[in-house]
Amino acid sequence: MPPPPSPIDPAALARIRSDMLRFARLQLGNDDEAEDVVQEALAGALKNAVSFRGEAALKTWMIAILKNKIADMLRKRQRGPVTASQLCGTEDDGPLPALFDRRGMWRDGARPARWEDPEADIHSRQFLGQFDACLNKLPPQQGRVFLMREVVELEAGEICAELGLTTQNLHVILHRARLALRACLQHHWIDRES
Amino acid sequence: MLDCHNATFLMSQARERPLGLVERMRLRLHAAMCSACARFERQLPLLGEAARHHAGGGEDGSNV
Repeated sequence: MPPPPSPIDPAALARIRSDMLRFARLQLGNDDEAEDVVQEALAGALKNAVSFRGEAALKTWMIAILKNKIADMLRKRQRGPVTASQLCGTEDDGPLPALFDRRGMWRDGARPARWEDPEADIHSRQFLGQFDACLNKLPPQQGRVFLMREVVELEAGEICAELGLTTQNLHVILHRARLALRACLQHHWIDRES
Repeated sequence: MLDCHNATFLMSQARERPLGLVERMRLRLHAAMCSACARFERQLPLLGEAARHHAGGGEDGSNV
């Protein structure tokens, strides 16, 4: 028998809210705006919340709403006065571990290894903890751009307009972010048993 | 001949823009001969998927 729908638990809501805030702050780089979008997203979500099978389903839905609110806010900014991006500057290149040799070939220790069961890993709390650690090691702009692209799912042009980047810049930043993230996961996760 | 650094650069860009015919051909040729880059290409979308799960936007959303 499926569990009966339960009312939303305030403690669960508080946890979800703090995760949403963390995510919104990272994306918007502005605490006030982050508070605003999270508030709007929560209000919108709760208005329509009838019942959810637990915290996980509720959170998935709220994050989906939040992503839309953040995307709206970023698009609105583009039409407004130019905002000096807090993160614009010299750090976009960031240090890249020496993954390739001078001929552009993978160095021995850096060659991508076989990832046995990625789908299971992606659903594991332990793996996501490691993913979080690797994400936090990226230079801030790399991490932010990577999340704007892969989680908020903004188009390349939208990210460039928001951050004042050229398309070529964006490609370089994303390439570096992905290389570094993958290398970190390989080092701390994929290779952990070998 | 494309090297691994540039091959991974094109693979990464393919997530943001459609590659041209010549780019695709050079990439396929490289990936056919280079198992490390072929793995990199398979693992790329998984990074995005992991990021969505990490943010709580995955289908079960239970992890942050």
